[in-house]
Amino acid sequence: MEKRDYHYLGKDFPRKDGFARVTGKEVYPSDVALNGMFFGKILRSPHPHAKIKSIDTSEAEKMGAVCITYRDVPDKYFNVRLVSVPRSTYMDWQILSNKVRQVGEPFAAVAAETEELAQRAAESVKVEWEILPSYLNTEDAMNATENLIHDHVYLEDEKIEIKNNIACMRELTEGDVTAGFKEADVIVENEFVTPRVYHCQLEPRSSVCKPEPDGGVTVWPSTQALHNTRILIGELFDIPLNKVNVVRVTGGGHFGSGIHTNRVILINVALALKAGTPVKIIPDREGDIYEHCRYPVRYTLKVGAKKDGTLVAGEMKALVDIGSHHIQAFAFLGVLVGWWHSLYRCKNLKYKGIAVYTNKAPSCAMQGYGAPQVTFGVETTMSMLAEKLGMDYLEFRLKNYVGLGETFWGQGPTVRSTIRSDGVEELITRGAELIGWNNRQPPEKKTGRYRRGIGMARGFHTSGTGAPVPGEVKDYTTAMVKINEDGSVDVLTSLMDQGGGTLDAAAKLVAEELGVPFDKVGISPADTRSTGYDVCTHATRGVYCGGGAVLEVARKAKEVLLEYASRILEAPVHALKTRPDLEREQGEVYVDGMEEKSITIAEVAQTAMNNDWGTAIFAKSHRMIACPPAFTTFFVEVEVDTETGRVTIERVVAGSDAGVVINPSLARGQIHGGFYRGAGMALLEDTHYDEKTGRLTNLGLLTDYKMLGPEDLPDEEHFQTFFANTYEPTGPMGAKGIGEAALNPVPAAVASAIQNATGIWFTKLPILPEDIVKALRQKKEGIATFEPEKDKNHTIEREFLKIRSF
Amino acid sequence: MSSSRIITQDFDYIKAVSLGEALESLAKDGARVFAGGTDLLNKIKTARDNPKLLVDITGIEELKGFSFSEGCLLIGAAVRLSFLEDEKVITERYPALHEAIKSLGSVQIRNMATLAGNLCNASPIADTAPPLMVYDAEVEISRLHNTRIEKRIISLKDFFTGPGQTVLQKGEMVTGVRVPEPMASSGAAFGKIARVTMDLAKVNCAVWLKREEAVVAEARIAVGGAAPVPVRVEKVEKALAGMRPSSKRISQAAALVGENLSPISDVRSTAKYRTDTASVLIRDTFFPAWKRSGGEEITDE
Ligand SMILES: Cc1cc2nc3c(=O)[nH]c(=O)nc-3n(C[C@H](O)[C@H](O)[C@H](O)COP(=O)(O)OP(=O)(O)OC[C@H]3O[C@@H](n4cnc5c(N)ncnc54)[C@H](O)[C@@H]3O)c2cc1C
Repeated sequence: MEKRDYHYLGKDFPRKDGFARVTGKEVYPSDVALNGMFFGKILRSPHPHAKIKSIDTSEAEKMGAVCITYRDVPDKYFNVRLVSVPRSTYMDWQILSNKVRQVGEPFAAVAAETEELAQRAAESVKVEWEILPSYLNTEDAMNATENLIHDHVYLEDEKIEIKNNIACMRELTEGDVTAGFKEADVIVENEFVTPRVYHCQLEPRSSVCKPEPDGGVTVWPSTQALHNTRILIGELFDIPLNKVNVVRVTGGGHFGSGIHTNRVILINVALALKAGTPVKIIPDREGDIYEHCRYPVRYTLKVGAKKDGTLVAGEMKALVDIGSHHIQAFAFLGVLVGWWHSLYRCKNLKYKGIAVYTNKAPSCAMQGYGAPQVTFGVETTMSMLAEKLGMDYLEFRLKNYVGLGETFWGQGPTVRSTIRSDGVEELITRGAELIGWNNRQPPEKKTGRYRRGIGMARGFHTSGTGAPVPGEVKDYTTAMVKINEDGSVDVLTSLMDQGGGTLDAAAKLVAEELGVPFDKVGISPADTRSTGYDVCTHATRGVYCGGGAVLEVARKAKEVLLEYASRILEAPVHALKTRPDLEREQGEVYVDGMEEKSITIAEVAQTAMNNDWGTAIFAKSHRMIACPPAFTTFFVEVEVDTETGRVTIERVVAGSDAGVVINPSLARGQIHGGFYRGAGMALLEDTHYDEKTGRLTNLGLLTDYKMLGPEDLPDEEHFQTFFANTYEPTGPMGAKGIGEAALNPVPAAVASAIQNATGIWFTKLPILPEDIVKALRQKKEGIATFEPEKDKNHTIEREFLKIRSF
Repeated sequence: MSSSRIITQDFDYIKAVSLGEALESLAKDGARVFAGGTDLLNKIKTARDNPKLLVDITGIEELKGFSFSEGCLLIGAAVRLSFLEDEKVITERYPALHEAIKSLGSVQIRNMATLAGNLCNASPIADTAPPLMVYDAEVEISRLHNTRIEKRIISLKDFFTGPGQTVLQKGEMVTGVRVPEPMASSGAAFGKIARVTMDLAKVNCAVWLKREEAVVAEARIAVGGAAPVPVRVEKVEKALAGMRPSSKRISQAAALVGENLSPISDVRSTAKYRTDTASVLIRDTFFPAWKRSGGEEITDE
């Protein structure tokens, strides 16, 4: 299959939900309102690590509130994230527990008739705490032998003892690293540190739950995973799944924080069941900020190369501070090595990753799922190696990148497929041209207070987690396509749209396949009772996997349609084609080569109905059998004020290989959005904890969780985007993904630009003005890599030594 | 356990229609002036304040005054910043104040916030404090004595007593801010360093210069964010007085700022960075101030 002319793909249309969104009519979880609805409030721990000695909710109950504590919820261990298969899903969560493991951890909840009464009731609850020693960094955590954050966790039915607060580990060796390094002419080794970014989605993770008279529940949650949420609720509350209905509501932003079923939803269900009336919870920001964050990774990366630029060996040791609970750390340790493995070809590799519990917010997936973290170090290392070898960055990358015909690891070591479309060379060459790479000056040539620098980095994200052989991660989508009696079409799927236009893309694929006008294809409201399983929208799988499934189903529905049409047109099915007839605003079926023989799809559907043939309808689950990389390359120009350390982003050239681009404007929007969060991660966004109180130093308030604003980013004129001319043979009409790829190389590209301006490689993110000023001062004393401040007793090496015994 | 969504503290609220009514209410225990509320509500939501009575002053006609006459700018305590931000008198005669107001918060915040509120909140990084200090602004304070309204005027530089603290006594409120007309051959500018464009300052500063020919006759410089209150940095002012400016001499003078500062490290920045950049900021702000005073372009000589 190859590229062809499309009616809708590659063209911009007003998005189907656009009108509702811009007029304020779109319904988000916090807008859902039901008769007799109570408001819920979550009580959160003021202590980083403590046990409840006693809890007294009598005042709250006197006020008319319904209260739940650990005594009122099922005593079951689980994991909030059901994306991985059970054998690699560690379970350490309870809906509520008598032990809290971080400041902000929910320990009770109340519901009352008004939000104000609920808040008052919550404030009246009295708790006596037994304070436990707390561990706010990985070193303290790993030194602990008692009062562990978790004593044991479960893996399927197996009870696993926890030692030194180590949640899990993962190792991988390929080839012979020692021999490999012996062959190396140059070796680069650094320690990289990436920040604990908060998702800061616009809408705190809200939820509404209605207990149904039949003992079931209906839930309107903020989630990326409808069916996993349903399965978890059914399992925990012992409700048969046919009575658990989870409704798709437009999300007010996720960025990965809704891949798992946030505990708010489970607390919401428990409260509603006890109250016997619908309950709604909208957490406040200072609560939500303690619920989730990006995985912060500290790692050493050592890579060796030969004089001709061939990579010969690499070793990575990573330490991940996962906070109070396991959301998907085992899978995460897998992708860290997976992304590295798939960036550059190197036959001798060694990796070890350790995930450590601390008394902080649990870390989880966030746009890129480890790829921005790894890409930062790998890309920086590649540039350093190129420099040492006197090679151009671009030439060095083109020589070593993993491309066409090679193996891509889409989700750690167990999800692999062969790369069949590769726009890397085009992205690099064209991007270099647009930014003026050849005129780039080395840092030594730069003088004066304000210094410009041009940097670059490349990367990718997987398109979904499909593969020829299923791995640790579930991946399929179910859809139904139904051709209505007036020739319009309903698409029913539990696929979620994170805001990027996934469902619009699905509708376009259906319109294209069936040959009906785009506005005749509707996306039906969805809930878990009327749809089949979809794993969730994550891993940049929406268009590729979700769209792929919808397209497959549309093809099957079309077969039914054509069979009906062949009876009417008296021509064999294989002779029939469809196309949109824009004048009649209808799709039509015609006989190939005898175009006067045609009939509208509406007429086919009506004839089929009136003759009792049936409806042209099909439903099916579909799994993609590849995980093609969606490549991106960013060239960035910055200006550094060497006196204040301020970095201004002057210009961006972003190239994306998304295969056939379905929604061009929305795809550009994805690139802008990805750059925005990537640059925030590079320059600004982070969370810190007070080691004494265990609280966030920003107190959970946005006043001190700063993000870049429009004024801090280049305008359209200085932000060029372009797409590689590729076609993904396994993709729906040639498409791949884009979303996470739009962020992954950005921190590395920004750091590279800062290096080109200042001559200093920063290996810790975010790169704050304070660091830049300090590093420039140190550089005068001759140091050109600005490393994370090292506590002498606190090196990765030492921490890895400690756990040799495991 | 407070929540930014729901305020559970009990308090009374009145919307005063006259200054007398407002002052009478303010004499009560736990009363607070409620102007734009952009600071006050945050404090209540995060349980950093626990007022018993909010006295809304935004409906008091006599506090909405804005005038420029007899060499004095008068801004009533109920005037919103969005009204001031593009007011011609301010853009033309008080450009440093204009710049500070423009840099404060967002459109939404400025539509609510007041100038007096920015001062009375007494944050060390209040953006309008440094320009008003170098313009030698005064604060008009009113209180009720028996049934008579009494006013006192104090210089802004004596107004702040600590972070969140001012000379205001119970029952007193600021009714207006007075700013004398800048003298001929003077010029001023405002500068700010923050994490992002729309943000509270790490450090801010205002530089005011009186020029005589090619020489700085007098300098007034105020810095915020580097001491418990916004401060005038006399060391630098003295060093600049009588100077024929050159880039190098300005830098040398600005570098003395550290001696007048006592910054802290917090979630927004470090003490060291604040001191270092305060001197850079003063130097950067000197140039536009000098230009506005009518001074010739400064060369590196
Ligand atoms: C998102 C956001 C961004 C902000 N950005 C900035 C910024 O960039 N720079 C900056 O400096 N500030 C900023 N602020 C703080 C705030 O907006 C300003 O300080 C504002 O000027 C306060 O004025 P107000 O009228 O809202 O004061 P209010 O909140 O009404 O009052 C503040 C305090 O002063 C007292 N008060 C008010 N008026 C009087 C009076 N006439 N007499 C006696 N006491 C009085 C009140 O009782 C209260 O204690 C920001 C605030 C927010 C929420």
